Amino acid sequence: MVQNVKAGKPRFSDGAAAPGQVGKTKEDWIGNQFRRIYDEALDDDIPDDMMSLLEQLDGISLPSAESDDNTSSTPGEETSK
Amino acid sequence: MSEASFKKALVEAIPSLRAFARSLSGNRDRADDLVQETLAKAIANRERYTPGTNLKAWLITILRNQYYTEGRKRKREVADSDGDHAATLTAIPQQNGHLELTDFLSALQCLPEDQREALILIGASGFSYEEAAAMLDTRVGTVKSRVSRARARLEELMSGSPDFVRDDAAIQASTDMLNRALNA
Repeated sequence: MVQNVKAGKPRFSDGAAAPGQVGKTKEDWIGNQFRRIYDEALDDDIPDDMMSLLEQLDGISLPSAESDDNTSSTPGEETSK
Repeated sequence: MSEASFKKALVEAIPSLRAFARSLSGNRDRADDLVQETLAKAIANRERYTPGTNLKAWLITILRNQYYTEGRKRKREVADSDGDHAATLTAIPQQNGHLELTDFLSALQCLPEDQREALILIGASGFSYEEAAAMLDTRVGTVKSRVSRARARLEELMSGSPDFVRDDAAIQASTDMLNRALNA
Protein backbone atom coordinates (compact mmCIF):
# COMPACT_ATOMS: atom_id res chain seq x y z
CA MET A 1 0.00 0.00 0.00
CA VAL A 2 2.64 2.50 1.04
CA GLN A 3 5.98 2.06 -0.62
CA ASN A 4 8.89 3.51 1.26
CA VAL A 5 7.50 4.67 4.53
CA LYS A 6 9.08 1.97 6.67
CA ALA A 7 12.42 1.99 4.92
CA GLY A 8 14.46 4.17 7.24
CA LYS A 9 14.00 7.59 8.73
CA PRO A 10 11.24 9.71 7.30
CA ARG A 11 12.58 12.37 5.01
CA PHE A 12 10.09 15.15 4.77
CA SER A 13 11.07 16.49 1.40
CA ASP A 14 10.51 13.28 -0.45
CA GLY A 15 8.44 10.16 -0.35
CA ALA A 16 4.97 11.61 -0.24
CA ALA A 17 3.44 12.78 -3.43
CA ALA A 18 1.53 15.98 -3.42
CA PRO A 19 -2.19 15.90 -3.97
CA GLY A 20 -3.06 15.52 -7.58
CA GLN A 21 -0.02 13.36 -8.20
CA VAL A 22 -1.42 10.31 -6.51
CA GLY A 23 -3.47 8.73 -9.16
CA LYS A 24 -5.49 6.01 -7.48
CA THR A 25 -7.68 7.66 -4.91
CA LYS A 26 -7.96 11.06 -3.36
CA GLU A 27 -7.55 9.62 0.11
CA ASP A 28 -4.13 8.13 -0.57
CA TRP A 29 -2.08 11.22 0.06
CA ILE A 30 -3.96 12.02 3.27
CA GLY A 31 -3.41 8.48 4.55
CA ASN A 32 0.26 8.73 3.60
CA GLN A 33 0.70 11.93 5.54
CA PHE A 34 -0.90 10.42 8.63
CA ARG A 35 1.28 7.36 8.32
CA ARG A 36 4.36 9.55 8.23
CA ILE A 37 3.21 11.35 11.36
CA TYR A 38 2.77 8.00 13.08
CA ASP A 39 6.10 6.61 11.85
CA GLU A 40 7.83 9.72 13.07
CA ALA A 41 6.23 9.37 16.49
CA LEU A 42 7.26 5.72 16.53
CA ASP A 43 10.88 6.68 15.79
CA ASP A 44 11.00 9.36 18.47
CA ASP A 45 12.38 8.39 21.84
CA ILE A 46 9.85 8.51 24.63
CA PRO A 47 10.60 11.62 26.71
CA ASP A 48 12.06 11.05 30.17
CA ASP A 49 9.19 12.73 31.95
CA MET A 50 6.73 10.27 30.38
CA MET A 51 8.86 7.33 31.43
CA SER A 52 9.29 8.58 34.98
CA LEU A 53 5.54 9.06 35.19
CA LEU A 54 5.07 5.43 34.17
CA GLU A 55 7.57 4.32 36.78
CA GLN A 56 4.93 5.20 39.38
CA LEU A 57 3.34 1.95 38.32
CA ASP A 58 6.50 0.04 39.24
CA GLY A 59 6.23 1.52 42.73
CA ILE A 60 2.70 0.19 43.05
CA SER A 61 3.45 -3.32 41.87
CA LEU A 62 6.61 -3.71 43.95
CA PRO A 63 5.09 -4.04 47.45
CA SER A 64 2.60 -6.70 46.32
CA ALA A 65 5.41 -8.72 44.75
CA GLU A 66 7.35 -8.46 47.99
CA SER A 67 4.46 -9.54 50.13
CA ASP A 68 3.99 -12.58 47.89
CA ASP A 69 7.56 -13.55 48.58
CA ASN A 70 7.19 -12.95 52.28
CA THR A 71 4.09 -15.06 52.72
CA SER A 72 5.62 -17.96 50.84
CA SER A 73 8.79 -17.94 52.92
CA THR A 74 8.63 -16.56 56.43
CA PRO A 75 5.30 -15.04 57.44
CA GLY A 76 6.72 -13.62 60.66
CA GLU A 77 9.13 -11.37 58.78
CA GLU A 78 6.35 -9.03 57.75
CA THR A 79 5.75 -7.78 61.28
CA SER A 80 9.43 -7.36 61.98
CA LYS A 81 9.78 -4.92 59.04
CA MET B 1 -4.89 -6.15 34.87
CA SER B 2 -1.59 -6.06 36.72
CA GLU B 3 0.32 -2.81 37.11
CA ALA B 4 3.14 -4.22 35.01
CA SER B 5 0.95 -5.14 32.06
CA PHE B 6 -0.93 -1.85 32.36
CA LYS B 7 2.39 -0.04 32.16
CA LYS B 8 3.45 -2.12 29.16
CA ALA B 9 0.20 -1.33 27.38
CA LEU B 10 0.62 2.38 28.11
CA VAL B 11 4.17 2.38 26.73
CA GLU B 12 2.94 0.65 23.60
CA ALA B 13 0.21 3.24 23.15
CA ILE B 14 2.55 6.23 23.43
CA PRO B 15 3.46 6.52 19.70
CA SER B 16 -0.24 6.45 18.76
CA LEU B 17 -1.05 9.02 21.41
CA ARG B 18 1.76 11.32 20.29
CA ALA B 19 0.75 10.99 16.65
CA PHE B 20 -2.89 11.68 17.52
CA ALA B 21 -1.97 14.68 19.68
CA ARG B 22 0.36 16.12 17.04
CA SER B 23 -2.33 15.89 14.39
CA LEU B 24 -4.95 17.32 16.69
CA SER B 25 -2.93 20.23 18.09
CA GLY B 26 -0.48 20.81 15.23
CA ASN B 27 2.25 21.42 17.76
CA ARG B 28 4.79 18.90 19.01
CA ASP B 29 5.43 20.44 22.40
CA ARG B 30 1.78 20.88 23.15
CA ALA B 31 1.19 17.34 21.90
CA ASP B 32 3.72 15.91 24.33
CA ASP B 33 2.21 17.93 27.17
CA LEU B 34 -1.16 16.44 26.27
CA VAL B 35 0.25 12.92 26.24
CA GLN B 36 1.95 13.52 29.57
CA GLU B 37 -1.34 14.71 31.10
CA THR B 38 -3.17 11.79 29.55
CA LEU B 39 -0.74 9.26 31.02
CA ALA B 40 -1.00 10.90 34.45
CA LYS B 41 -4.79 10.71 34.31
CA ALA B 42 -4.76 7.16 33.02
CA ILE B 43 -2.53 6.09 35.90
CA ALA B 44 -4.62 7.94 38.47
CA ASN B 45 -7.87 6.51 37.09
CA ARG B 46 -6.66 3.07 36.09
CA GLU B 47 -9.40 1.43 38.16
CA ARG B 48 -11.91 2.87 35.69
CA TYR B 49 -10.37 1.09 32.74
CA THR B 50 -12.12 -2.19 31.96
CA PRO B 51 -9.56 -4.83 30.97
CA GLY B 52 -10.33 -6.32 27.60
CA THR B 53 -11.78 -3.10 26.21
CA ASN B 54 -9.89 -0.91 23.77
CA LEU B 55 -7.21 0.82 25.82
CA LYS B 56 -6.18 3.11 22.99
CA ALA B 57 -9.77 4.36 22.63
CA TRP B 58 -9.91 4.97 26.38
CA LEU B 59 -6.63 6.90 26.33
CA ILE B 60 -7.59 8.97 23.31
CA THR B 61 -10.88 9.87 24.95
CA ILE B 62 -8.91 11.16 27.95
CA LEU B 63 -6.55 13.04 25.64
CA ARG B 64 -9.23 14.84 23.70
CA ASN B 65 -11.08 15.81 26.88
CA GLN B 66 -7.82 17.29 28.10
CA TYR B 67 -7.32 19.06 24.77
CA TYR B 68 -10.74 20.66 24.77
CA THR B 69 -10.57 21.61 28.44
CA GLU B 70 -7.25 23.34 27.80
CA GLY B 71 -8.48 24.74 24.52
CA ARG B 72 -11.33 26.57 26.15
CA LYS B 73 -8.89 28.12 28.61
CA ARG B 74 -6.46 29.01 25.84
CA LYS B 75 -9.12 30.65 23.72
CA ARG B 76 -9.80 33.08 26.51
CA GLU B 77 -6.09 33.76 26.93
CA VAL B 78 -5.02 34.13 23.32
CA ALA B 79 -8.09 35.23 21.46
CA ASP B 80 -6.83 35.52 17.91
CA SER B 81 -3.96 33.07 17.69
CA ASP B 82 -5.98 30.84 15.39
CA GLY B 83 -6.77 33.70 13.08
CA ASP B 84 -3.13 34.74 12.88
CA HIS B 85 -2.10 31.19 12.25
CA ALA B 86 -4.61 30.72 9.46
CA ALA B 87 -3.42 33.94 7.86
CA THR B 88 0.05 32.48 7.42
CA LEU B 89 -1.39 29.56 5.52
CA THR B 90 -2.75 31.36 2.49
CA ALA B 91 0.13 30.12 0.36
CA ILE B 92 1.18 26.61 1.14
CA PRO B 93 4.52 25.88 -0.52
CA GLN B 94 4.67 22.90 -2.81
CA GLN B 95 8.17 22.75 -4.14
CA ASN B 96 8.85 20.04 -6.68
CA GLY B 97 5.39 18.69 -6.23
CA HIS B 98 6.23 17.38 -2.77
CA LEU B 99 4.43 18.04 0.40
CA GLU B 100 6.03 19.01 3.66
CA LEU B 101 4.67 17.27 6.72
CA THR B 102 4.51 20.56 8.59
CA ASP B 103 2.31 21.95 5.82
CA PHE B 104 -0.03 19.04 6.23
CA LEU B 105 -0.19 19.60 9.98
CA SER B 106 -0.88 23.28 9.36
CA ALA B 107 -3.61 22.47 6.88
CA LEU B 108 -5.21 20.15 9.44
CA GLN B 109 -5.38 23.08 11.83
CA CYS B 110 -7.50 24.96 9.31
CA LEU B 111 -10.24 22.35 9.60
CA PRO B 112 -13.07 22.81 12.09
CA GLU B 113 -12.24 20.82 15.20
CA ASP B 114 -15.07 18.33 14.85
CA GLN B 115 -14.01 17.50 11.30
CA ARG B 116 -10.33 17.32 12.18
CA GLU B 117 -10.77 14.88 15.04
CA ALA B 118 -13.13 12.68 13.03
CA LEU B 119 -10.62 12.52 10.20
CA ILE B 120 -7.75 11.68 12.56
CA LEU B 121 -9.70 8.94 14.32
CA ILE B 122 -10.70 7.31 11.04
CA GLY B 123 -7.81 8.18 8.74
CA ALA B 124 -4.91 7.99 11.19
CA SER B 125 -5.78 6.11 14.35
CA GLY B 126 -7.53 3.29 12.54
CA PHE B 127 -10.79 3.30 14.43
CA SER B 128 -13.97 2.11 12.77
CA TYR B 129 -16.80 4.55 12.18
CA GLU B 130 -18.71 2.82 14.97
CA GLU B 131 -15.81 3.19 17.43
CA ALA B 132 -15.29 6.81 16.46
CA ALA B 133 -18.99 7.54 16.84
CA ALA B 134 -18.92 6.08 20.36
CA MET B 135 -15.82 8.09 21.28
CA LEU B 136 -17.25 11.31 19.90
CA ASP B 137 -20.65 10.57 21.35
CA THR B 138 -22.38 11.04 18.03
CA ARG B 139 -23.92 9.00 15.23
CA VAL B 140 -22.05 6.98 12.60
CA GLY B 141 -23.57 9.09 9.83
CA THR B 142 -22.31 12.26 11.48
CA VAL B 143 -18.78 10.86 11.69
CA LYS B 144 -18.91 9.85 8.02
CA SER B 145 -20.04 13.25 6.92
CA ARG B 146 -17.41 15.03 9.05
CA VAL B 147 -14.68 12.84 7.59
CA SER B 148 -15.79 13.43 4.05
CA ARG B 149 -16.06 17.19 4.55
CA ALA B 150 -12.61 17.17 6.17
CA ARG B 151 -11.14 15.31 3.18
CA ALA B 152 -12.75 17.65 0.72
CA ARG B 153 -11.52 20.72 2.58
CA LEU B 154 -7.97 19.34 2.87
CA GLU B 155 -8.00 18.52 -0.80
CA GLU B 156 -9.03 22.08 -1.52
CA LEU B 157 -6.40 23.55 0.81
CA MET B 158 -3.49 21.46 -0.35
CA SER B 159 -4.03 20.59 -3.93
CA GLY B 160 -4.81 23.69 -5.88
CA SER B 161 -4.48 22.67 -9.48
CA PRO B 162 -2.46 19.55 -10.22
CA ASP B 163 -1.31 21.16 -13.44
CA PHE B 164 -0.02 24.24 -11.67
CA VAL B 165 3.21 25.42 -13.24
CA ARG B 166 5.64 27.51 -11.23
CA ASP B 167 7.90 29.17 -13.76
CA ASP B 168 8.54 32.76 -14.75
CA ALA B 169 6.17 32.72 -17.69
CA ALA B 170 3.38 31.25 -15.60
CA ILE B 171 3.95 33.75 -12.81
CA GLN B 172 3.95 36.61 -15.32
CA ALA B 173 0.71 35.31 -16.84
CA SER B 174 -0.92 35.16 -13.41
CA THR B 175 0.31 38.65 -12.59
CA ASP B 176 -1.08 40.00 -15.84
CA MET B 177 -4.37 38.30 -15.20
CA LEU B 178 -4.55 39.75 -11.69
CA ASN B 179 -3.69 43.22 -12.91
CA ARG B 180 -6.33 43.05 -15.59
CA ALA B 181 -8.86 41.91 -13.03
CA LEU B 182 -7.89 44.67 -10.61
CA ASN B 183 -7.98 47.40 -13.25
CA ALA B 184 -11.19 46.29 -14.83
